[in-house]
This record gives sequence, structure tokens and C-alpha cells, in this order.
Amino acid sequence: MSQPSLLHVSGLSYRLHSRQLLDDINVEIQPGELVGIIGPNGAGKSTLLKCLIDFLPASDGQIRYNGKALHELTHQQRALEVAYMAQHPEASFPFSAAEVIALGAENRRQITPLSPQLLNQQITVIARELQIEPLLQRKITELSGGERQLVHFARVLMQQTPLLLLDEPSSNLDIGHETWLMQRLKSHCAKANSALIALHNLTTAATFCERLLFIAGGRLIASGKPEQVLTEARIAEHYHQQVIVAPHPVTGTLTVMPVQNTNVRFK
Amino acid sequence: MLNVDRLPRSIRLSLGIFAVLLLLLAYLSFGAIQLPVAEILQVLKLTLSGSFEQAQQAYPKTAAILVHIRLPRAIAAMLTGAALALAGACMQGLFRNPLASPDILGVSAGSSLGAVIAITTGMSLIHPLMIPLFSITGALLTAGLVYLIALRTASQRQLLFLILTGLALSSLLNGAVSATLLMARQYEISQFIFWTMGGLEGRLWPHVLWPAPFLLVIGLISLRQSTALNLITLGEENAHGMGLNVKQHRQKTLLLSASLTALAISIGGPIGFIGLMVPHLVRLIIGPDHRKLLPIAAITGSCFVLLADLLGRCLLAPHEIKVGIITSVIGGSYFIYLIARIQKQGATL
Repeated sequence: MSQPSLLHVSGLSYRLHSRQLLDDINVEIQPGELVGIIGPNGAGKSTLLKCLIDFLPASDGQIRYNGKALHELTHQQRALEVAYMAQHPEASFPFSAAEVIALGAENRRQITPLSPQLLNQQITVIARELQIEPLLQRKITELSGGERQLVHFARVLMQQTPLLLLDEPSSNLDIGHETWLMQRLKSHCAKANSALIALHNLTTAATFCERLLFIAGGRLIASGKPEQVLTEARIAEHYHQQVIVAPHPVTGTLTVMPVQNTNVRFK
Repeated sequence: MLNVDRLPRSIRLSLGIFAVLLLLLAYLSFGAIQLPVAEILQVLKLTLSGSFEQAQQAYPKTAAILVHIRLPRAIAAMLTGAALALAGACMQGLFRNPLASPDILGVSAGSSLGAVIAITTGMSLIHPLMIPLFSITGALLTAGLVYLIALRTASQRQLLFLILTGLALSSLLNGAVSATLLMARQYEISQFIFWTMGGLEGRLWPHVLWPAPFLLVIGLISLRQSTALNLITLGEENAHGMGLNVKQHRQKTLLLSASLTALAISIGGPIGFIGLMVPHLVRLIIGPDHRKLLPIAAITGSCFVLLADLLGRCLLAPHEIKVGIITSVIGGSYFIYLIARIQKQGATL
């Protein structure tokens, strides 16, 4: 048998109070892949990520990390396989950014001890890569939403897991920082790591992700390369918005542009 | 000005221990009857080396007051202060709210009902430990009930439902307390009202010796929650992602904090504001890292109650002001100061 995939999901369903929030989701992620989850608001993107780390208990289906069933892993073992970044970068107490990033190493430190010097060194390396060194000594409560997201991204990288699950990590970032984060993610995935990332911006998703999962109404509508998934008809149907999907004249990557004067309707 | 942060750790630690010992010595020395410090040290030395009788012969008055009255009361003050502050620090961390109090699970209301039952049934006359016993039973039963009701909600919303259920049950129990008092005799009502003020007068060895081992063990286990509490400050989802068993940690922390609070109330009655104010103040000074916050809050809490009770014994000596009154006055003033500070400098809570 070939090497097991980093993440293997089959028949995943999640029901809450008789509402079917996820229905028969099948996903497989191989080492080195950067996969985007797209879909309209309320489609189930966040729910899917939360089920994948067992924060929400799946009602049905199988989730495997590196061939190991999720329900057989302890919390500690799971956190060695997969790291997760929630949609809202919460900050309730004035920890410094460096302290927040260090928390990412807490789980693996309990297994392999890490000296404070080495820990600080690792924090500095990641902070330098993400260009957030000036933030390190500042209080997380005083940072802007975008700065907090970058700190949380650094915290997730500190966990040193083969797979990252990120829930809209760039929702508060400007175009410069978003591109920076996505490029960092791409080079991270080039080293046999993988990431599954929920995104709202379809152009960003098309530019950086090799593969997209299109979710709507809790179902996996389409999956594949961006040009296969992002069709004008499909986006119009599920987002209720007419768009133009066209390759960029210079870079050749897909861009998704809204057409004005069409109305968004909430179901 | 001397910057304490710059001093080496060992010096800071020694300074802290020295200050605590100084405060303890002051507590033992001052009061309605002043005991000379030299005699206190002599008596302590002799008692600790096992010859209390010799100390009694040499300094009969000092030995009697010190060993039978002030020492158990000092330990009662330190235990209650440490327990309440530690419970408060844990609850503030768990609820990710710097103004959460250890009382969220309705522990105070439960212990009040326990106390009022002990008083009105005449049980408190049978044995002096009946009020503590009834109050701790009431407190733990209430906390358990609040938790069982809140447990029925989905994990993500449990914290909110804990607060709501705690409020609801507290209100019910306070109603029951009032109803019981309506039928009580005048002296029973006074006894209960004095109990609710929170006080340490008349606390002797039996009052502190039975809860002490529980408090020590539960306190030490609580200190071990510090890393988990640090993770939880980033939100339950993120903490779960970092490998924390959020549900189990929540249960553990609630149980530990409720037990600490219940034990503290059983010693000193419901002494107000410590669980809320001390951890908050300590966090402002040393930062939010629970690995430092929990132990330092516990020590500060014990010093704070010691100091408040010392003031209460000395301000109007030979009359006493109950320690709960002193902590309420200090606590209220602290919050007015906080409000002024935030309005002026735009600082956060």
C-alpha cells in the first residue's frame, strides 16, 4: 500500500438539532498540498474545519490523519498531527505576542522538552519570516485585527504539525499582508507540509491554492483545480451574484470579478 | 524609583518572603492586647521545638494568646485569602473575563442556605463546626446542581449557561434563605447576619485544622491548571486545536474553584471581593501568565486578608471590625479607582 494521505475524510456528516450542517463530505489531502475551502456564508466551511479537529463531534463518517483514526487519537496526539486557527483571533488577556506564539509550542514541549533559549530562538525565526518582529513585545489586546491574525498564524506554525487547518486567516489582512501570508503558506507546503484553508476571497483562493473544495449547504459541490471549480454558472448559482471569471492577462491566474447591479439574496 | 523588575529573581523572592513574615509577625503582635515581638519569637521557638509547657511557664500570657487565639486565626486568614484569590484567578482565566468571581456557580447562596439551616435548626448550638459543615454542604450541592443543569447545553455554550443557571439558582436559594429567616428568632437572625458579613473572630484550631489539608491539596492541583488556563485565553477552539481537552479542563477547574471557595467560606464566611479583586490587581502588576499569576495571587490573597483582619482588630481596639467589612470597603474603593483610571487614561480592564 502507498503512503497514507495526511488527511482522509470519508462520509463526514454533522447534524445539530436535526439540521444537517454537513452532509457526506469526502476529502483527501496529500503531503505538500495547499487546498482551499470556498463557499458562501453559512455553507459549512468553519463547521467542516471544527469537525476535522473534533471540536464538533462528527455525526457520521471517518476522519484519518496519516492513517490513524481521529477518534483513536488523544487530544495531545491529535495536536501533533494537525494545528488549527480559529476564525476570530480572540484575545482576552494582555499576553505579549511572543507569549501567544510560545503557546503554540506547549503541546510538543510536553513530549520533547524545549529549553527557553531554544523556544525564544524558534519564535524569533518565525517572527522574522512573517516580518512581525516589531510586534513581539506588544500586547495582543492592543494589536489590530490583522496583526493579531499574523500572530496567531505564527502560533499555529510553532505547533510544527504536518497539516494546518486555517479558518479565514486573512479576513482582516490588507492585500500586502494577505499575499505575504499566502506566500508563506505556499512555501510552508512546499516542504511536504499541507494546509486546508477556508477563504472568502475567490481570487486569492484561485491564485494560491492548487486545489479548491466548493461547499454549499453543507455539501461538497465541486472539488479540483481552480479552473475546474470556479465557473461563472456555479458561483452565480450558489453565491447569488453574477461574476466574470477570467484569467489575468499578465499572470494567467484566475480572477473573479463581480458584475454590478445584481442583488445578493439571502436564502 | 526602585524598579523591582530589574532585581534578580532570588532577591525578589527573598524580599517577598521577608514582607510576608513581617506582616505575619505584625498580625501576631498587634491587637486588643499587644504582644512583644521578642516574646512571640521565643514562644514560637519553644513551641516548635516541642516544649510548649516551658513557653507557657516563661510567658504565660503571650503563650496563651499566641498559640490558642492569634495563630489559628492568622492561619484561618491566610487560608481563606489564598483559597479565594486562587479560585478567582482560575475562574477569571476559565471564563476569559478579568472580572469573573469565584461565586459564579452559586456557591455563596448555597453556603448561606446551609448556614441559615444550621442556625435556625439549632444545630449550630450543638457544635461550633456545624455552621462550617452545613455551609460547605450547601455550597457544594449548589455548585453541583448548577453544573448538572448547565451540562445539558452544547459544550460551546456551556459557560454562558453556567452563569445563567448560577444566577437563577442563587436567586432561588436567597429567596429560601429570606423565607427561613422570616420564621427565625431574633437572635438567630442576628447570628446569621453576622455570619454573612464574613469574619474570623473566634476561629480556633478546629476551625482551620480540618479544612487545611483539603485546601492544600486542592490548591496544589489548581496551580497545575496554569498552562491549560493560558491556552484557554486564546479561545476554546484554539485551545482545543493546541491539544487541550477543553471539556475536561473546564470540569476540573470548576470543581477545584468551587471547592476552594466553599472551603474558604466555611472558615471565614463569605468574605467579599477577594476572589475578584486580588487576581485582577496581581494581573495588572505581573501580567496574565497563569504560571506566575496563580501562585502570586494566592500569596497576595493570604496577605491581603491578614492585613485586612489586622486592621479590623486594631482600628477600634478593643472592638473589632469584621474582616468582611474591611475587604468590602477596600474592594469598593478599588473599583472606583479602576473606573477613574479607565476614564482618564483609556486603560483596559
